Amino acid sequence: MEEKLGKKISRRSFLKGAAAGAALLGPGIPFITRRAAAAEPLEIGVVSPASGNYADHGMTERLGMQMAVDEFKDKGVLGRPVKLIVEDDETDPQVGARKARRLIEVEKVKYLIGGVSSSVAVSVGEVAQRNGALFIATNQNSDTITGEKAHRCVFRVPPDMSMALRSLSPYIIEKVGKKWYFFTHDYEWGWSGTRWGRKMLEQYKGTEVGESKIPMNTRDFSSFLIKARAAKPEALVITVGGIDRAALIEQMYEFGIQKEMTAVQTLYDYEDVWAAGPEKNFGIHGTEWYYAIDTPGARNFVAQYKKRWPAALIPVPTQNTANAYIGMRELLRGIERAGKDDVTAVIKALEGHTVTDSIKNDPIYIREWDHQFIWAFYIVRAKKPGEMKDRTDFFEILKWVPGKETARTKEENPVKLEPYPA
Amino acid sequence: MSELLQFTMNGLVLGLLFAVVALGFTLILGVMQVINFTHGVLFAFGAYFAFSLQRYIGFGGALIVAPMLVGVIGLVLERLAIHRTYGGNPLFGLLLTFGLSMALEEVIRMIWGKPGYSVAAPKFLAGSLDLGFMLYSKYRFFLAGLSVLVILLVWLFLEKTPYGAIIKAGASDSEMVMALGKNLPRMRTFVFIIGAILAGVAGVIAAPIWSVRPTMGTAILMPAMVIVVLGGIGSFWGSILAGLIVGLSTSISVMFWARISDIIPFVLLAIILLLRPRGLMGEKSILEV
Amino acid sequence: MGSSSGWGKWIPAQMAVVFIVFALFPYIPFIGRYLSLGTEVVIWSLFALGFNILLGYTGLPSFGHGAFFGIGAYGAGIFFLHVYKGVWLPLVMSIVVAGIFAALVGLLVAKKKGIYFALITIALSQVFYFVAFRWEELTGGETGLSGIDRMPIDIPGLFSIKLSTPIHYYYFVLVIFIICTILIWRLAHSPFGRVLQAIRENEVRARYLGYNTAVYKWAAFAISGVFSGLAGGLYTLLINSAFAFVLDWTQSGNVVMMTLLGGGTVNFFGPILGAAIFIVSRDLLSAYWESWMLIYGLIFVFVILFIPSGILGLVGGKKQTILR
Repeated sequence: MEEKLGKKISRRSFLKGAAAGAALLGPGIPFITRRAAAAEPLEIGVVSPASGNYADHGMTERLGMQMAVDEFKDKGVLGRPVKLIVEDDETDPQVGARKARRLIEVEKVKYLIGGVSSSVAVSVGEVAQRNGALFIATNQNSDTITGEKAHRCVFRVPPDMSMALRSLSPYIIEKVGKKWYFFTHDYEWGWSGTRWGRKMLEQYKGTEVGESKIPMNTRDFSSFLIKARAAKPEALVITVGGIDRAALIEQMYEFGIQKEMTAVQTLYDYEDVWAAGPEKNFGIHGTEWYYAIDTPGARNFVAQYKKRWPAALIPVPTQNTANAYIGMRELLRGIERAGKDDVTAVIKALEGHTVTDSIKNDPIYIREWDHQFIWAFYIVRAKKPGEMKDRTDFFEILKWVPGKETARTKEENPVKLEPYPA
Repeated sequence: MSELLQFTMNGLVLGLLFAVVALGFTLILGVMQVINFTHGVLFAFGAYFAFSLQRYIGFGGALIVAPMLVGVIGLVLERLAIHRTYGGNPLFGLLLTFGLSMALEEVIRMIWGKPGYSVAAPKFLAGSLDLGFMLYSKYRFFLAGLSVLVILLVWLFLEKTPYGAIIKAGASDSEMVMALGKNLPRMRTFVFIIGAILAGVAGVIAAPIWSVRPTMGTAILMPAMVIVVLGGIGSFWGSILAGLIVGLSTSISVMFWARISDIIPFVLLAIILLLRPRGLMGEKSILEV
Repeated sequence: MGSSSGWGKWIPAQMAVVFIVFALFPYIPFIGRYLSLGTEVVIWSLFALGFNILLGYTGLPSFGHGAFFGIGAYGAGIFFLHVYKGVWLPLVMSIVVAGIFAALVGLLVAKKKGIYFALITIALSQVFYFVAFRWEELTGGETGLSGIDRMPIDIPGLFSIKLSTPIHYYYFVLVIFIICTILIWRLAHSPFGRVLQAIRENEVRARYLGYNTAVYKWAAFAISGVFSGLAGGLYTLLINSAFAFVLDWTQSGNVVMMTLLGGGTVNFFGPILGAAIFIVSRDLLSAYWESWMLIYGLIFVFVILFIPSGILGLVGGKKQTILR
């Protein structure tokens, strides 16, 4: 046995070495070819879900990003063409972090953008901070991203839960009722929504008649709905997202819950209401953006969207599209203002900047001490199928609340950002 | 009290749905010793077909046609790939179906796109039924009833038809069956198709309440595996019983501590494995109704 | 087996080649700077090698070892954040914690085999996954733990190595990998290893020969769990975080796949090759194609149907069953 093996070793070890070498060389090949071809494009790394639970949200946000890039097609940024390198984060923070590392280490990208899931944003943000890259979080609403896990290198575009609930609550108290039952998605984002909701209830002398903590990946809500029904609330305040929300909507309709109480989604995504359809559209909700906002900026944006993406699966831009568009546009404008391709300069160009041509009713203030984009939040009413003008017309805007009235104060959010990257 | 009753109803309904899925899974496992990871994605296909067919032939029509289509997919999978792993290391069957499930999930995304969809239950089933002592969803009664019907049909088939008897025989002694001149490979394909159809039916009836998404299959695959081991591999009644137990325990634990309601089935599994390793009704020979 | 005396017994030629290739990786132009990927390849190679003790040598198809990887990952992370910010202690914790759980779970499964074994390992590993997912306070839930830094290794009076520098960490992991590989090699070629193979070939016979096969299977399970945990701890330090997703059964499926793909059932080094190919191609695939999952799944199918003995199985020629 031993002698035979002696001869085989060299062949095997050679092949093994060669195979391993080839495998390790793999990632280099496209890199090598890319280096050979290009001039000097400005590369932006997009970390966004194309698979996993938020694949549909990832799709809509990427459409918005592309629209922003198109606006710089002629002049470029700092005279350079903008190039997007898109990576799928699979709605998985581990994958997101790996893709972020890849973009930074291999593609030498300095600017990252995207992420729909809060946990992905946290992990990508950490990678960015550690490597001195800039990350614009486009669609996450968890308080921590501009709170405990805030970083010098991270900016967050959409409102957080304090802005959402502070805008929504007074309206609900006044027009719907003071007896609330909470559905809390049992993780950080859900908790923050309910926490602010409670604060508001206390402030406005409402009553909490109960709460159900809904574990992630719940499919069957019947038990929770039964409990909620028994408590007889006037408003069912729901901070539940993703696929779980889709199942919840189906089951609320199934049990006829909307006939007994008003469903209030604290942060409703258009993708979800589009999937549910007109029959299963009910309640009064909070949302970050809606395509029927009556400002020239918003109307123009919607028109541009329809022109650019005539075959899009969702015929109007969603709040994800809007957030991602703004995020990308302001990033590119920030680089332009900074005058150089340097992360610290861009961060400084973004901090404290006011965006006047917002696509909401108020301008955007990019706050310097927590890197939160401060802008409006909207309260909408679900239209009955008969009221809809066309198949996209799900909501009527009831009210909008300016961001500066509802964002967290320094006392509420004692965040300390790291020093600027060297 | 009424609350407890409703929770119990929930559990039974959920349990019956799980049982239908687990039944298909255990048939395939018992007869071919294949851990069919594609069961989840077949479930999803049922829901997606229902969504697409609904506007043409209504929910009722979709209920008949969609599972048949899923059966066709099952046929294709079995004939092209899965049958090659029979009799070998069970790992191969597992990994093969694992790979197939990933590829098929992506196929769903490619065909139907990434957004979610909604399937409407028939209008006459919308809303709640007032039973006096409790208010309960009409659709769930329908779901429960349909599940029972499907289970009954499977039982009748296995017990009362000659071919069903052959399947039972083939499960415990394939050599004997071949000696009798019966076509074993054809039977196995048939069993796989049955399993696929069962998963498809479950997908159709779950669609109106769970919403249709590409990843929806993962929510029943794990429970199915737990149920099958808990009930005893290859055991018909074991799957039913374990399905009900899992459904009930999940539903009722929500009353006390929702966060662990997912883990309860696994805890039950661990306990059963310690006390009675073959599962509640498992036998050394495979398919025992 | 290598020559029976001197260096060859400890580090056969193939192993030396592997070590050299890994050691030179950072110096390969262009791709050498993708250090985090390279470190991942080494970590997963370690994971897969340890796992192969159970799969290739003992023939037990565990589909739940991702759980031990994850337990090791969390063990290191939680220890770092709440007890002591170091390098060695968190890693020791990852080994100890994973080892304990692997030993406990091993008790439940040691007497099983075949599909039953596979099913139970899937189900039990899911328990850990759910616990990690749900026990927010301890594990950070879906968001996971972050802020786990790589502390420098200080040898007072001599030098200090900053592990936060990617290339230093790469070599640190490589050194640990080298030590473990040698250990696993010795183990596989010891009497213990031979008994494991005997059990794989014919457990009943092994029992008749007087071996308490359940104990051996349990030991193989626990030992492979220990290496999984160590890999997990190293991974946590690499990504400075710990996530519940790491415990998902797809991770368990991945390690089985890479072990098989490379030819772990017929060759000691199969898992290393499999890990390298798997990690690199997955990275490439998803970077270039949005529907990468389709290809990924089809690759699985292809490997299972056409090269079930893995790549080294192809290279080796005739069907071997005795692992060398």
